[in-house]
Amino acid sequence: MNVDEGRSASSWVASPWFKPILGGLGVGLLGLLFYFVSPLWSSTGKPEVISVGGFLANTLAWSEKVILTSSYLLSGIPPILRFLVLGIVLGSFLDAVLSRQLTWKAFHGQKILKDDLPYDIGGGALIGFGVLLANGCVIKHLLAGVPGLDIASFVAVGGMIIGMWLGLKIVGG
Amino acid sequence: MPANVMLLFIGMALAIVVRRTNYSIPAAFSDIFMMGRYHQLVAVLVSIGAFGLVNIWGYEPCPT
Repeated sequence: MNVDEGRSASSWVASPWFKPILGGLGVGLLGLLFYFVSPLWSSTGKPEVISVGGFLANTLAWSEKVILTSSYLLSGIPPILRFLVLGIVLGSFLDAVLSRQLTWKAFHGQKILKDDLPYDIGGGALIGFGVLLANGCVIKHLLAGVPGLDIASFVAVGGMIIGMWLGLKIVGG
Repeated sequence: MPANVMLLFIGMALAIVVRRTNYSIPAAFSDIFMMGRYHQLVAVLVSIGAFGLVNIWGYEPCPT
């Protein structure tokens, strides 16, 4: 590699487009990896797409039935997927610890558990409701359904864009 | 490698990629309405393109 090529590579790394594109590529390829290893636990033996919100919603519905009726109904979602959620939480925690960024945080100008609490509860409730209503989370529909040309996912993503527009109008950017 | 360990690693890798690159799907949506700010939108489009490779192997969408 000559000096000009080195400069050009370092300027590309410093470019504001580098991290977003790297992130997009990483998330897309990890979704692809999930797809190819999913037959290991899939009940049908066929590949499945990555989904987090749908799994959490089904677990919640399962927990409700267990608590209210004491009957152990299967949610239809393999319990093994709990390891995916555990990995996401564990990975975030370890990365924050290793990069010495582990601290309580709030959005700029907001006080934790005071100003933003109604927004967190309201927004979280709307996400949970939307996941059940649309039969899947943003990850399943946008990162798996749309590239897989699933018509239902195109419709769901259209609804998400409308929801985001409404959110920006109501609470601002 | 057992499937649960593999899933754990995929989850951890996802978290680290998202943390280190500030990847954000909601920001991609808001990019659509904020002129001149398209970094996250491009990131999500790259993800869609990367996962779209499954169509090469005959991906069938889940019946929703």
